[in-house]
Amino acid sequence: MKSMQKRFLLPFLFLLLIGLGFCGLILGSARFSFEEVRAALGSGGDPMIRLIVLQLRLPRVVGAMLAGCGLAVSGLLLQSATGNDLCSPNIIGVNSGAGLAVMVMLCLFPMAFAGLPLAAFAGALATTLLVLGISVSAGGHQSRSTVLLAGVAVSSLFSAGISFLSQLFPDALASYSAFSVGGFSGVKPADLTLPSLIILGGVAVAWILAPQLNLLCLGDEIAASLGVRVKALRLISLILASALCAAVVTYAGLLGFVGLIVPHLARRLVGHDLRILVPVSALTGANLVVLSDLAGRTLFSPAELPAGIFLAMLGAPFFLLILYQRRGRYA
Amino acid sequence: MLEARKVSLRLGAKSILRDVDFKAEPGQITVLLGRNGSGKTSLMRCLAQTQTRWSGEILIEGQPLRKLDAKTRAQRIALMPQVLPRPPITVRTLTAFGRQPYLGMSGRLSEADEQRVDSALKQAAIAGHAEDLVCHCSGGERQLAYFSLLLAQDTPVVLLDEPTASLDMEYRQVVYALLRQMKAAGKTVVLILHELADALELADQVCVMDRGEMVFTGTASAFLSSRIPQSIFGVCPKTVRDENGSEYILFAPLDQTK
Repeated sequence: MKSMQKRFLLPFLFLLLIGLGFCGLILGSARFSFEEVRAALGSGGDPMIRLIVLQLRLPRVVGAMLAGCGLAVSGLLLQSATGNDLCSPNIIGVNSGAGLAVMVMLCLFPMAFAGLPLAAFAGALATTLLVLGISVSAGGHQSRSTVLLAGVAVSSLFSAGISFLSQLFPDALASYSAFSVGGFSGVKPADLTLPSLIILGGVAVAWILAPQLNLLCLGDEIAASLGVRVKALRLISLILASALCAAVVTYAGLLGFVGLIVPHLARRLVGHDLRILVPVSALTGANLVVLSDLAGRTLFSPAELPAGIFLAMLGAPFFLLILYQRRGRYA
Repeated sequence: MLEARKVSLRLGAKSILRDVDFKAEPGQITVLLGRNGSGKTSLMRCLAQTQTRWSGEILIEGQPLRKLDAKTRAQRIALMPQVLPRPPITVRTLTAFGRQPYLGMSGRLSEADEQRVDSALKQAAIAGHAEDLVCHCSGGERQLAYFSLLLAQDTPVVLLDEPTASLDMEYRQVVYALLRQMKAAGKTVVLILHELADALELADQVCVMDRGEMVFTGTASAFLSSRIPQSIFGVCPKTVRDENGSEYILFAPLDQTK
């Protein structure tokens, strides 16, 4: 993409997000007019419409935007820190850690739904620390491949744990299924307070780290000789990526593919400079998730499909397309 | 000036470097020679502080290396490792990374930095490929692209690990010319080479390592008159003269000289 086009990409993505967000407020099982939504967002309008827009649809749209931002930047950080563009929160076990913690909660305290977000957050972060701990003791340092291999091993172990618990406690499986697909149905404003701080703060920190992260593509030795504290940067990036993902998991469940495909899409649009990739990925992820949520609740209305299903339906073929197009590119 | 005093390195149970003393002066090319596994690359990593588990003392311009923070160190020492990655970025972007140690948090280049990048690209004779992706460059072009990064980094000490390992004769001559330019600019140039004849032609100082120890330090002529070529490398130096009177040094394997 030419530099002139790149310059207009961020404003375009931002305006597109505003437009999709507005569509998310207008469309649904009950369809409102633009004027009705505008009035509801102000201080007037029909009280019922106001209630639906402000209490149901707005948190959902904002939640989807934040989830897209957080997951996309989480994936970008993981891919940059590990030097592996197939890395994503799922791969290093963040999702399975959150999933196992939720499953344990559902088995031990079947009615404690309010504790699930906290369990998911704790599970995701604890898994990251476990993966880092294993990679340090196995490889002597947080090298690229040891983190990935430790993540794959822990992820497989935790997935087996989830399957084991679902056999022992079949009643917990129904609640876990909704969590594992991921979606924004029933997101309340209060659910977003802490996650929004973590996600917006995390994206800002990722943008600050971008110039240093750019240098990791030169390998650890050259990056270090250019003044990067490679191990510290990699550790901070991995923890930040996990925190971003965990913050999303607390209210949206296990949304897949965003962290994997959005960084690829953004690279195709603007290249490999993380200073521009971070904001472009954040906005692209937000647009993609808002669009998936919108599609999920309008295409088969009044039935509603979780955004996670649409993301998987969009994401899997797109990812395969990328793999085919990459054949032999860096050979 | 770069100086190592009694530097030792152990990795696990293995002793990699043992009490190595080393000194490289500004405006000189110091060539590190030795067989594979003798500890040359490990010493270079210690000097660049990309290997941190060494003991002893390393001084750069009289200051202890360990006391320098990462950014200050990057303004003093640049390293070109043997294996050069092929990132999907342009040669210009790669060169601009050389200015990173001098930039603020935003990573934005000033006009002076941009000029420095342009001049590094020209000096490394790679300006014509500035917009090519590094991953699409040939081996020689990639080497020159990384040289332009070194030139943009503009440090008083430059460390190069086998910079001509995969290059043909033409690119080797370009690289040697760049090394001589760095020397003329007053930089302390330390490089690892395996081609003995080229090393002796370039070097102001030759250092030879064997099994983690520094076994020889001296000039090229002192190296030739010592037993080191025979005992360490298993070769015998021979001087040949062409019809114009120019002298060349050839190294014949010992078993062929018997």
